[in-house]
Amino acid sequence: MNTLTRMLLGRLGGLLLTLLLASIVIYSAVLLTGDPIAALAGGAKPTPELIAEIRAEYHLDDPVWQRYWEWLTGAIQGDFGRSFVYKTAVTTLVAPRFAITLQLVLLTVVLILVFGVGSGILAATRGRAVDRAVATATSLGMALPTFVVAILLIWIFAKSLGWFPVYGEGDGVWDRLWHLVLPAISLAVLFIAYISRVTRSALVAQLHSEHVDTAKVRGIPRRRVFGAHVFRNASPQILAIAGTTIAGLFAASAIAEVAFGLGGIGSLLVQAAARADLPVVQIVSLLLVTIFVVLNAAADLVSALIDPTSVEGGALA
Amino acid sequence: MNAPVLEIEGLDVFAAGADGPRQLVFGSTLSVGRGEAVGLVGESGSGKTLTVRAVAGLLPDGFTTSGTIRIDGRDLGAMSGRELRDVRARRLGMVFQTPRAHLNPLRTIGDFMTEALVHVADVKPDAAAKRAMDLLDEVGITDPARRMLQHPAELSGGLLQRVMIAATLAMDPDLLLADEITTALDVTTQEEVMAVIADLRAHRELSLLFITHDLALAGAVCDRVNVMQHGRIVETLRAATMRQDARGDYTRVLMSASLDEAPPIEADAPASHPIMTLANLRKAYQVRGANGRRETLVAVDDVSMELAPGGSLGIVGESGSGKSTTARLLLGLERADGGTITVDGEDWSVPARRGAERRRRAKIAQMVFQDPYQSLDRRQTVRQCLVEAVRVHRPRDAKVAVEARVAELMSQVRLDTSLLDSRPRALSGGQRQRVAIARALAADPVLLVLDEAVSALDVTTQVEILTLLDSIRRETGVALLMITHDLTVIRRLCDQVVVMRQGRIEERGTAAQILDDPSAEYTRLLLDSIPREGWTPRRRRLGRTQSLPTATRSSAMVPDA
Repeated sequence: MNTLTRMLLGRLGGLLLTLLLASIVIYSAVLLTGDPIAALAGGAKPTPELIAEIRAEYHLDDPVWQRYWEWLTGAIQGDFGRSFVYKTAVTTLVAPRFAITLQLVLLTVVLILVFGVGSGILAATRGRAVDRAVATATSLGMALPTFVVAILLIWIFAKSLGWFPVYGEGDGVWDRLWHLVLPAISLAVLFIAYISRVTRSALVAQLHSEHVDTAKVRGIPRRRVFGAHVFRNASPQILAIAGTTIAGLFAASAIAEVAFGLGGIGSLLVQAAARADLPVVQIVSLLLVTIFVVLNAAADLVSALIDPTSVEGGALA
Repeated sequence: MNAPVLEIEGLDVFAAGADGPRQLVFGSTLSVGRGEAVGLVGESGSGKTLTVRAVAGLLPDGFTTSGTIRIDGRDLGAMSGRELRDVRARRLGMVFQTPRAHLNPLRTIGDFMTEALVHVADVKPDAAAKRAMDLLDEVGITDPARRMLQHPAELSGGLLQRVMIAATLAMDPDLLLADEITTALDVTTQEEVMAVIADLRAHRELSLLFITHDLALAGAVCDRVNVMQHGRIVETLRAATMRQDARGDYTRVLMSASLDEAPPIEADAPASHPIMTLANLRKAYQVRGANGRRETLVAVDDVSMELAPGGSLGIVGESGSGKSTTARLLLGLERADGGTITVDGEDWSVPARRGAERRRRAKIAQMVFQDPYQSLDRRQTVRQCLVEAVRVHRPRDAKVAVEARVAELMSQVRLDTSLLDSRPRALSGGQRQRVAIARALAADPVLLVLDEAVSALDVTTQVEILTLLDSIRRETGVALLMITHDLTVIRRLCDQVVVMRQGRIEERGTAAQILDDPSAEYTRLLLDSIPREGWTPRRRRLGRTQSLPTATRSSAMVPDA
């Protein structure tokens, strides 16, 4: 068994364990929020009969571990229970909203990679003036929280200029894209600045490394030196940070979703938490944890493919 | 004389500074004839590396030059960027000091070997691969097909340096620029690499510009030697007669520092109770072998030695010999799997656990490290550093007493008290190492462990520090344990010597016995590998080819077998 397979299997085991622990934490955190009766009864003061009925329907009188077990086995089979508020199956509630969040995140990722990595490359390679300009821009970008950017964008591009819609997610491919542009920008600004900085410093470290001197003195064309030695060696570092950032976007998107009135899982989570809609809170939280863990593992895997020596023990000969 | 391959005329090199350019090289002039080997010798900061980097086009950003550099009679200053790159790619080959840092760690040896052929000379990849294997074979690398698929981390330093040399040969250069190419290697590996270079020069019409701090090595492998100091070439000598011809004071200083034939230090009558006794020490690590399997590496195997109070013992060995592990076991930085350590009558076999116990042991034994650039805190002044070291052991002393002790330490290491408020950055390498020694002496130890304490210093500074250590030993009666790979260091400092190889003791005896009349073949090999007048490097054996295994952090204890 080679190191890569061993790493993969180890990663998979760790992933499952993380998810199991996360499910326990999420389930117990939700229990701590108190008796769900009020939320289930829908505001009116419940009669004792109604309470008994609800307790029976939601198995509230079973021991905790048994309820957890049923919730978990149900979840594995795709049954996450029903929303306390909407009374529909949680999965049908979450699926379309997840699609919107996914689209928003994908668009944001494109923006982050193009502008973040792009400006990082420019800063590292195009002389001091460009480096300074990018440094100033990224300082500004890091200082602007997502909701501030969102308000500015709405005010300038939606209200004053009227180029983009203020609210909603639109229908059809182009309309949807048009609706998602401003939210994606507001979400991306901070991370573009961050990835730009990371890219620049990773590249500068490689540009000054001795093996790049070797390539230069051998007359290797500049493009090739940059691609095969500088960028390639810097990429595991950039990728590791980008992986964590992108994974975190699914949670961070809540701010943009709320600001732009997008019906994604972020805004769903915010609403569900406000209304104590526990099954929804549980599934969305678990989904966010899963995405975070899986994407991080994927980033590590790609890093390992680029840099075989990064795998623990791989450098030992 | 035949047409020179390289001519440097009146080369000045300037660094960009806050207040205008600062000149670092002054009117460097030298030439390398076809097939000739020319040495450029000097200590760190002499400008030798800047001179050769100006030729290779590798000066750092912001550096400027004036003067003329001609390769094959063509002026580099008159060429376009493209022509320059082409001339450098095809006419020059450059080999650097640290092959491990100068090879891309993520790419295979094969990628590295073929890159210039494929991307500069437009050779087809399979033809390039075939040529690469021939070249690896030419520099004496066995099993080239397998090597092509390996990564740099899998090869030893000596083998990587051969790979570097082979790769520069791919373009059939006229001139090899070799910048301290053997400085990072063991002395036997140095001989191997120099033998490879000598072979290549014999079989190809290859010229060599050889940059080194080691005058003896330059004299042994070059036809002519340029001596450089403070950015100027102070003397150019014919290698064969340089001892007789040398006129410059500096050249003579360098010569006496490197071509040392002073008699070894005589051992005093052995005292009855040794200050330090190691008995049957053993230490093994779990490592991951080349094939990914776990293996047990016995780093120290049944090692015993004694050191008399006020004596000086040298442990000599190459990388992987176990000499540093032995020192780490002694100081409790690692725990021995077996054997006993006795220092000053106490049992030190088990590392100290509690802070108080560690401090008590630190009063008895102190250590000086190889690199004073890294072992001193760069934010502390010399005074702060020494006061801190004194305070550790005398927390309740009056300020005046501490000040007096600091002044005493400064005079012990022959440093002027005017340097007390300098930070390490303002000090030379030798001054820094003196501060490090003073810091170690602050505790008034009975044993000073010196881990390659002069290896990072220039030769003239080495001699100063070794002389200083010897007089400190005579004045204070502190016993010295010197860990080194360099037998010439032993000659100036130690009365007893232990030669280690692969975790075991090969030979032990007085310095006079070991240096002048060794009985073990390995010791003779080490002595023969030291460059000296009339020395010809020879290929002796295939040395270690794999990189040293790195012990995994969680290395489990191996039960004593």
